[in-house]
Amino acid sequence: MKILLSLLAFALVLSSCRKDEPDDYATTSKVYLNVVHKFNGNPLSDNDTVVDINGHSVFMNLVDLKMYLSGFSFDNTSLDGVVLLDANNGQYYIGDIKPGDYSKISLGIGLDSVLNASDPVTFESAHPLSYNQGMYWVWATKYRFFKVEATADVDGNGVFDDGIVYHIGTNDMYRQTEFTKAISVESGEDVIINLEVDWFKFFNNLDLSSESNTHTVNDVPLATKVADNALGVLSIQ
Amino acid sequence: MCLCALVVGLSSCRKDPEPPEIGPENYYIVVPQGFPTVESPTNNALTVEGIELGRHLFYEEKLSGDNTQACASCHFQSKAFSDTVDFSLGIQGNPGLRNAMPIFNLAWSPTLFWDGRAESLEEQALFPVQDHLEMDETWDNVVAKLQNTTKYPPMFEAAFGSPGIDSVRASKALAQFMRTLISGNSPFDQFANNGYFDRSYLHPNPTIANYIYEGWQIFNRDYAGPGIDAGSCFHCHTDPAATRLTTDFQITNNGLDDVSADLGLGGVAGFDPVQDRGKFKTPSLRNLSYTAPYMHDGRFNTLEEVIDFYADSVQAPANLDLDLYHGSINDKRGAVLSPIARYKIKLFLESLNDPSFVNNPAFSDPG
Repeated sequence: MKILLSLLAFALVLSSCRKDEPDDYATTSKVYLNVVHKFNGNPLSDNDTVVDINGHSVFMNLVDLKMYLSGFSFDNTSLDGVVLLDANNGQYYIGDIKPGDYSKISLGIGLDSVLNASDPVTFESAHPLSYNQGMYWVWATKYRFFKVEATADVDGNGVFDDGIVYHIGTNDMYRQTEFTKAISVESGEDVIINLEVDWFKFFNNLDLSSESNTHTVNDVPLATKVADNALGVLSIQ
Repeated sequence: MCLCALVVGLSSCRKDPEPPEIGPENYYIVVPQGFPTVESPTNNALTVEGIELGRHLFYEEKLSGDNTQACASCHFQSKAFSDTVDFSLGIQGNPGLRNAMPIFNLAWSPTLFWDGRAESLEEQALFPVQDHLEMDETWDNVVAKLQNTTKYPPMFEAAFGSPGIDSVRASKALAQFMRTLISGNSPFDQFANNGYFDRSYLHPNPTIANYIYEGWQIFNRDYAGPGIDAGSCFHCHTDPAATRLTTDFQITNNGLDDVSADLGLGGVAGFDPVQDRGKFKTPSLRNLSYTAPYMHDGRFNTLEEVIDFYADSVQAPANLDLDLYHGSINDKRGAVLSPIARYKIKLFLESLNDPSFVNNPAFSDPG
């Protein structure tokens, strides 16, 4: 009986030593964003684009488009990826998630105050937050959250003589959004989130003849409008 | 007896001394405070012997067709490794097509040359030797000439761990040397390294120090309307307080001409001769007091001329960098700078000079 009890106690000790975390960790799934860019519902092109803005036909030539996405979460589970989108369709790894059923995806457009306080020289050159990405502004204002640059023929004179420059940054311009989306994460299987970015929606309710240029600090009201428009730019398919 | 056995046993466990390691000695760059880390290519790690070979090659006139020109013939250390003239003359007496760029802090630069046509220092180092307007020589001839010396065969062997001279090894050695040309000890660096508080690091004269400080603020200020001094320089020449490199490494059209005579990036294979016409690499703003004349064609001889250009004369090519105008291209372009603001920006730029770099004996002609 003594021997039996000893064996049981030993088995109990062994069992209590086993950690659960490694198994759970081993079965997490990688989450990727599959990003497709659009302009007014059409495939994005850097060639001359005719768009209707507030009742006027505008010829537009997109020059530079970049946008940070961060602050990802599935329900209340955070993913720590930071993504810098440009005008190219592509797939981006944003973190790992445990198996389960989720109903909501949240993300931030730009960088939260902690990420925005990063020092760009501490990252390798290929990192989204590196100095090499051309998104770091100045010491005082930190990172640009997104850039929308284009030339346009706003007045229809046949010349692309209107510059559109929206460089949006500073902590107040960080925007968070969420999408209702039922996602069932199976153990160890990659999760692909299809994200559509329609850059045209940055121009919603803007008068391009007067609201064409802000680097945030020089025109905060316009920067706020553009940052708010950013909330309509993304959609989960 | 037991003790003897133990001693024998211990002795038999002892490893023979390692043979002395043969081969080049790794070299690690000391990165100045505030700079990003240096990422050397994995196939060309820095070594003491490789850098020394590169230094000798940089000053070696046998790299040119008539043995009269070295890299250093157009890239003077006293000029932060740039030239004093707008277009350097090659061995045939013909001018080159662009101003000789300064050479420093290129370890961080993703592209080389004004038009960005080379993506590594190793690739860049091959060009000037073969350029008919520069050193006008073939690499086969250079290799033969170096092979025929008593100096270079052992230096190449020491640098690469085996005998042999070829253009790839020569370019690697030159790249190693150029990767060590780091300038990060200007008055502004000292001001930044000490927390941005003590302006005496900027200049011993308090009035001038304050002007430099204000010049830095104007440099970083975006367009805020007519009459408000705003350099907007930081868009392309990143705030030195942010990365210390003073360039975003982009290749853009800065409005020097309505129609640029030089295609710039537009002349590089794979780029558009129309949309990329007149686009040039954003240069560093360090050491400007040594690197005149300025711009890709050396058209400006003084910093005052450069600042006046950005305040008064930016042209309107169709592909003008959008950071250079404030809305309609026809309204206003470039910086908004009063006369005193121009002076302050000039003083600020001069605070980025690094005399210790242009006088560093480690970079000088080894003789």
